[in-house]
Amino acid sequence: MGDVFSLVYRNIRERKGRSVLTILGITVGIGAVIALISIGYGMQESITAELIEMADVIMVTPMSMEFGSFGAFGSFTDRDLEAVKRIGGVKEAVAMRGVTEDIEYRGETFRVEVVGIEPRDMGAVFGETVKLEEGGDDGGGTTGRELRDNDHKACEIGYSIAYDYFSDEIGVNDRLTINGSKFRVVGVLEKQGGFRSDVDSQIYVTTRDAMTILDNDDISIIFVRVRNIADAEEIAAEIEERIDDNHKLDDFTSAMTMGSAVEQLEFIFGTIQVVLLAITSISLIVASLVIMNTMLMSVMERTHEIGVMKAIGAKNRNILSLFLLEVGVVSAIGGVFGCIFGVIGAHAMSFGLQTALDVEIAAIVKPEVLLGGVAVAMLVGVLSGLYPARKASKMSPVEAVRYE
Amino acid sequence: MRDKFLMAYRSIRERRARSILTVLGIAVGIAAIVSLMSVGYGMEEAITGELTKMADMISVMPGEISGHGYVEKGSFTDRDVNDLQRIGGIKDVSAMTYDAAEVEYRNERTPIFVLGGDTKELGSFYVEPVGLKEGRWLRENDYKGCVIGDRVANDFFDEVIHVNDKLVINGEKFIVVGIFEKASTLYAADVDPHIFLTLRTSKEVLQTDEVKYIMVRVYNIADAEEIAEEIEEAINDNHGLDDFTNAMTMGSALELIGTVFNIIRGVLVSIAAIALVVASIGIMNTMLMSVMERTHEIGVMKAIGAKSRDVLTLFLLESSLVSFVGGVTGCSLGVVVAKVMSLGAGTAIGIEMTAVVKPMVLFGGMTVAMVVGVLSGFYPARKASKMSPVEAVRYE
Repeated sequence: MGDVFSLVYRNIRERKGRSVLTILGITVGIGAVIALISIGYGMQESITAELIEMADVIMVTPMSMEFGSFGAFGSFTDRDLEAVKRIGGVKEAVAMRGVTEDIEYRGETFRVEVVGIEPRDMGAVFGETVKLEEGGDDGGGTTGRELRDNDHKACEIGYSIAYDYFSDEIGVNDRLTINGSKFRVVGVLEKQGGFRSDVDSQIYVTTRDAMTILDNDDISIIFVRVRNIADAEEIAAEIEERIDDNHKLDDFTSAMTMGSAVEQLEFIFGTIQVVLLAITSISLIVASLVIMNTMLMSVMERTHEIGVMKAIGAKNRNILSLFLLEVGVVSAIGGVFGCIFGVIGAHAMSFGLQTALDVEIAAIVKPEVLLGGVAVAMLVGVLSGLYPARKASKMSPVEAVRYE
Repeated sequence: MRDKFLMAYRSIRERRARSILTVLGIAVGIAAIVSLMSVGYGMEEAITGELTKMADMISVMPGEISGHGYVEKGSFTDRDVNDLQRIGGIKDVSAMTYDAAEVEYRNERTPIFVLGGDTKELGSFYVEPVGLKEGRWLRENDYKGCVIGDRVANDFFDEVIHVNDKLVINGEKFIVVGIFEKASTLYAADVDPHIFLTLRTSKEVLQTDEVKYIMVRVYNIADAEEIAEEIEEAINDNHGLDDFTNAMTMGSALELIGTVFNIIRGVLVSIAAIALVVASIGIMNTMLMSVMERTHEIGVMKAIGAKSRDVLTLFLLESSLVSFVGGVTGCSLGVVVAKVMSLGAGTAIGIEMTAVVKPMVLFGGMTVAMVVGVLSGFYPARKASKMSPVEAVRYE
């Protein structure tokens, strides 16, 4: 076997230019596949990571959660909230009273969603991700503070409200006019973007202010956190049933677990990845054509040599394995190089995306992907080398020796 | 020149297996690009085709479309509608309203969105493209008639609803006069889950005078953008708000779709182009071997007076011939694949879609194939032309 290896090595070295080109062909194909998979994983990760923190969340809304729906069917009542709170496994249920109001600041008016919420419930809704903006004028700490239960005519505002909507920036202690009443800004929230981008363009006030000053009794969203993520689907179904019962309507409520949102996203990303991979593997087909070509020529050139080997006792099997080994080594090298280039390519792409589009997507290189890349390379190589190798092994020794 | 062609042709034929494999390599790469482009154009056309018919439309909404969907900011008043009618260049203004209503059918109650509007306008907007499965479309004097979408009829209630069945909408009885066909993907969200009424009845049933949506048709499509701006200004003035309304012309919607598709096509094609890189490596490989094998022949040619330039063009001709054949094969293969793919994808997503093969794409495919062939054949050809005749002749 050692002899066979040294023979293979010699053959590859002898035809250096050709071997390098063949290896390059596989390298490009495998590299593209690896880079795309790694970037794909990175993209998926960056989106689902945000949602993992919210995996125990169920959003309950009075509307059908589907693409193209016009809006809400109505709103919830306090009775619905109590019903949700009584369901076993529900850790917290928070009522949010959202309504679009005219907001005036220094002569400009916009319509913005104002959400009434109990200050002590804000932690449950915001979790770890939504925080007050860091670094006020003094450099350290946060800007302003959270809402408190006894706050009167005070509000916390989203990032876009503070910086994008009005031509003047809004800061802590500035006053906004919401639907005719003056409210003092006590805190500005950090920029969220992504899945919680709705927070950026909302204003939060206390439930009491929402009900008394803004005259808004309707609950637009019930935000639920469950004790055990595994039960979320079941609890969501129960919530829908209870509230539909309260309103004597079918399909009035939709309770969406974040887990199912993650699943949906993963499905979409899976589909995109499969399509991209299918397109990329076209280059692997071309690479296999290149390999076959090289091997065919190699066989042809060495017809005489094969004849001699057979004449001195080499069996068909020996010749076959000799050529298969040659193609295997070439494609293994190509696979390894492909992995290296793929990893570099993926990092370059994530860097490019970051600078060009300002989206943070880290390339995630999984060891099984690299392993799979090398395996695919070898599979492609051996498959496309099979025909030339068989051709070589089937040669009649007499004719082969005579070939010049 | 003719001699050179003959020689190139002969040398390609002589090494048939090798040439076929090389041609196949290019063909696969080009076919991938051509088919992806054609399917992409086909998909775009399937989506924009319907919209192009409505290019004279401006849709006016009381809200804005932001990063996470549509945010409603209120509703229009009759004054807004009247103001719009006074703007020059507008042919037709039709107001629509919609809201959720409680709908009862055989003792089952479900909230459903009700959409009311001018029967003629709604008809040209939805009935023509979607079609009715049963019954007829609304008439202006249909006081207690309604037309329902496919999902309202079949999914929302335990029992299937047919024409002439009675529904109770917000406490008032209605007769179903027509049922829509199941809409294509493009219209599914608009038609399938809704109940359609005349504007007059919908205002009564929903107990509102509010207009949630205005559709405007203009005389001259070229003026649409300008008129849209005027509409926004007029309505924003009425409401004393800066960004209250959003008037979108179909033209700008089409442009938006076009941009999105351009990006998708660009990404897909650049990925497919990786196959071409590999194919060019294949060509270079084949040509290098061809040069090596014919070292002796090159030596003889040079010895009897061929110039370096002659040898160079001979080999370039050979590689471009191979890639030309590859390009032609690739284009035809690509067209076939595109047709098959669009058929498959069309049935999978549920839109009628045919691949659109643009001459530009085929032409581009050929050009790319030739460029790849010549570029990757250049190094081997130069190598051949630079050989010293003495050494080359001696080579065996």
